Amino acid sequence: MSRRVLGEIEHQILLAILRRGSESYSMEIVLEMEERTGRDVSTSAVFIALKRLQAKGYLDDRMVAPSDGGGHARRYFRLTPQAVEALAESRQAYLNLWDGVESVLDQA
Amino acid sequence: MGDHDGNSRPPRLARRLLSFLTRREATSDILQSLDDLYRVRAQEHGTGRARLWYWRQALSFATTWSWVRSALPPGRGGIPDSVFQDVRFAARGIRKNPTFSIVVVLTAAFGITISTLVFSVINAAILRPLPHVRSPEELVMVFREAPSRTGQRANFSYADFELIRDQTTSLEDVVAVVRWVRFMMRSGSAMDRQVVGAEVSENYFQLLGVPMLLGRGIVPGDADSGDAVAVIGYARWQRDFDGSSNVLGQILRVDGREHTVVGVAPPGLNWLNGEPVEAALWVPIRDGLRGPGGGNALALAGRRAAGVTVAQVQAELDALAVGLASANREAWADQSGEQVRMRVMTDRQSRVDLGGPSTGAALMVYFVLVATVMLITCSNVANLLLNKAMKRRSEIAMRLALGAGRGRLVRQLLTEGMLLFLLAGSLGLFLIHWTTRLMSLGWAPQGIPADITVDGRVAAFAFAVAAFSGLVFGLAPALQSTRPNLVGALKGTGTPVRFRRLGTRNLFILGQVAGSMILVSISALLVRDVQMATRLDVGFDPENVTVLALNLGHGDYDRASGRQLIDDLTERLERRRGIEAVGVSTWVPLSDDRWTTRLVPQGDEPALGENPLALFNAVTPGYFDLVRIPVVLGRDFTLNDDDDAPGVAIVNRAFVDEFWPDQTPVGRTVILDGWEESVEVVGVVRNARYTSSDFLGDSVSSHIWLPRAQVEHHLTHVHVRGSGDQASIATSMREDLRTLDEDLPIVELAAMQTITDRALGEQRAAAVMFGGFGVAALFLAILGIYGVLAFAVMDRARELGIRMAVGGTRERLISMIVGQSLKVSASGILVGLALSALVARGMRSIMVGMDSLDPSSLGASVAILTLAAVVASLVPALRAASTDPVESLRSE
Repeated sequence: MSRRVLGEIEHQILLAILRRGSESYSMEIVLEMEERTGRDVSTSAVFIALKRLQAKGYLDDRMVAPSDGGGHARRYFRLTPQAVEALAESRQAYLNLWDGVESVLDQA
Repeated sequence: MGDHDGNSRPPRLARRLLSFLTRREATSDILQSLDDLYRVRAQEHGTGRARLWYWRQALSFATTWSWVRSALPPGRGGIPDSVFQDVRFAARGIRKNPTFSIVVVLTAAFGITISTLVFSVINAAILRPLPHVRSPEELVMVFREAPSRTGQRANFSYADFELIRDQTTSLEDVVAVVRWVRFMMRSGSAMDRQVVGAEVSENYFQLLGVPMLLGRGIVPGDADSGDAVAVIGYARWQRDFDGSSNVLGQILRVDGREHTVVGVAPPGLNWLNGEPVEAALWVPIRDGLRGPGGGNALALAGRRAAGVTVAQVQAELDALAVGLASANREAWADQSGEQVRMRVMTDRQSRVDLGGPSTGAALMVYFVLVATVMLITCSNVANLLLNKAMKRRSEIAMRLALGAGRGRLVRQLLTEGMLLFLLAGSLGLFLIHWTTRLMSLGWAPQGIPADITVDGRVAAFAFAVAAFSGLVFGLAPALQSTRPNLVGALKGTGTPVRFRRLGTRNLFILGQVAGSMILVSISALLVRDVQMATRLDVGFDPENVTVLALNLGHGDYDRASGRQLIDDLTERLERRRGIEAVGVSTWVPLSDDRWTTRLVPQGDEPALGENPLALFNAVTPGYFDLVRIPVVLGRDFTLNDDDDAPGVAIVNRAFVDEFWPDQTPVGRTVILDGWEESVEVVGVVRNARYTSSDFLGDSVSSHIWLPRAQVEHHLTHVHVRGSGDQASIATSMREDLRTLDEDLPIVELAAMQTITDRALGEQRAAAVMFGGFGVAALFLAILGIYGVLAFAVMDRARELGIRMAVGGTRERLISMIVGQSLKVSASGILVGLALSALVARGMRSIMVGMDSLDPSSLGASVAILTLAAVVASLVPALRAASTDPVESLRSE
């Protein structure tokens, strides 16, 4: 069996982009992750993971010039079909691991 | 700008760091994204938290190997991969032990911050070129001095300035400055306050090429325009006007006269040759100094013409001086007849040259302070590093056993130490940056440059100190810990760390104790010196005397009306109940003021090169009685010694001893510099101490007094001796003055004791500073000794357990451990004592109250350090003694 199991932060990034709809700017990804997980996110780790995900072919990107003329261009990311597949596989892997042990959480 | 400001910017330094780390990334989106995230946070949580967050991100990038590697040039600049591995390993080790790392970094940062701060002061005062000035290397300072008295510089008159400006070709232009002018300034409805500034010629800002922050500088035509103008200094602008651009056109009342603010100078601009105080105010040279009676009050500077050297300027001015002297011998020779020459120096030369012998002593004191603080903190850090390394000796032994080179292990451990020191250096720079920002806003202590900045030189110094300390104090622990008993370490029985084999640790303890001994004993000496000095008889009685200081030049007073004002004020005060006496003088002894005069005592014409001087004051009849200086010969001044009467004088014993030993002084005459007629001595008073230098040694300055009615001077100090509450006497003085003049600014109104205490201000400040460091050093030394002993005891738990099990008593165990601490500390105390004695000898020139090798101060310091060693060892000793021997044997 060969399943693509994503690392924790990769999983979270892809999920964040998925939640937001079509494409997301890196700032939006970070804010979405923080809001959903309730924790601060290391931007250093996020940008490394974004590079890795692009290298694996899970993300496409495009540069968008600033609309108000201020600042630099911003990069927007979009999931590729391979990313959705990897997410599904990774999710299934976690569900399989959790299967039968959710009751422990109720006791904690 | 509010706290929740979405328009605020991220911290510049952190942004630069991120920019460096991400510069090789294909796109620049990372910085933009972080900026946007910063703005969101600033909006939601406030600017403070947003800045903190931004810094955390920057540090996270800086400590992540991917970003560091990608920022480096291709091929990593020729640095071997193994070095990067060591750095990564060290960074990982630092992150894994945050508490330990924080303690080490803070300890090292303490030492690095102190030493870098001292260096930054020296940098600002001496090394750094004049800030904001165009091509400062082209500027030269011009002084007058007699060849036999190089170092005693004299100023110029306005006529000299005009002549030199018009007749020199080697200088593009010449400016004149009256420095260290104390203005009484009032802005808006605020009260008058004294500020320090300069009076400058109209070409001053033009010649220096200073870019004004706001408005303009003083320009030709300002002095004669009728509307007085002023340029305000940066720190004063920030404090009094909140840095508002509305300051232009505002009216300031300076010395009683309205001035319009026309410009704001950039931060840190002082007047000339780097004297270490930012000027608060610049105004054109006043009329009184530009006329024939203006005296010699001007310092001169010029800009060398293109292609002209300093030597060529000197040669031209030498020739000019000869010509001036032959045309006007009196103006260009001192009273001994020696011709005065002009001396030319570059800005940097003149700054270094400024200091006298006390500067050398002060620099040495700073050096000692820096060296001992560094010694103590680095010894502490070295011990901490050694402790940590010793805890890893199993791991180290395993790696050695598996074939790892000792050199490589040493390098890894050393890298960790260096990295910690470099982090400490960065923290130190950060702390200094904030300290200097506070100082630039006007919070600098007196005498310290207000515009200290963290420039390239200061940063380089901080990192050099950090790197050097990291190398020296990181190497020993690295070497020590890679030399374990392999078998013992692998077995887990540990190295039996016998106390007498704690060689390296003992050395560190010695360093800490010696350093602490130096700081504690120097501070004890200084504190005792100040105590003794304050107990010395000053020769007059300032208690129950209140002084009102005025400058009649701040109002519209001429000689007659000024005298009338003071007479009326005196009369009013004398009528008040509780006032015993009222007297007036020009200046107060032991204050910041003093007035000296050159003179020729009868029968004692000076030889060529001699320059007899005496302190000079003008007082009213009854003044000596008021301040309790007895007249021991002749008489006091009377009301008959007025303007129409022959000139008279009173001198002190020291004057008689210097100029007329074994002769009757009463009836003899003195010619004062600038006076046409001689004055006759009518009385002699007992010696007193008038200046801070009168505290050194046994002799005091020669002093001559004239009746106030026969001398014109704007400076006026009204003294009141009263039996009542000093505060209400001060209120009465203010009320009576205001009845006579609503507007005349009060320069100062204070108890005479407060004013005279200033003479020992420097000594007190030094005592406080050293005292503070002494306490910190003692604390660090105690921690250091405790750390070593605690570790050694822990390591010997098994052995100590056996001792107790076979009959050893608690008391013997405790005395053994405490005794060992004392043995280790004793060497440090002895070394420290010897070094303290050397340092104290060098401090003789700034000690005023006693001999520098005071046995009781040094003895007290030895006792304190001994007690510290005992206290530090008690906790580990008591802990060892109360451990159950069975438990300690079982734990093995």
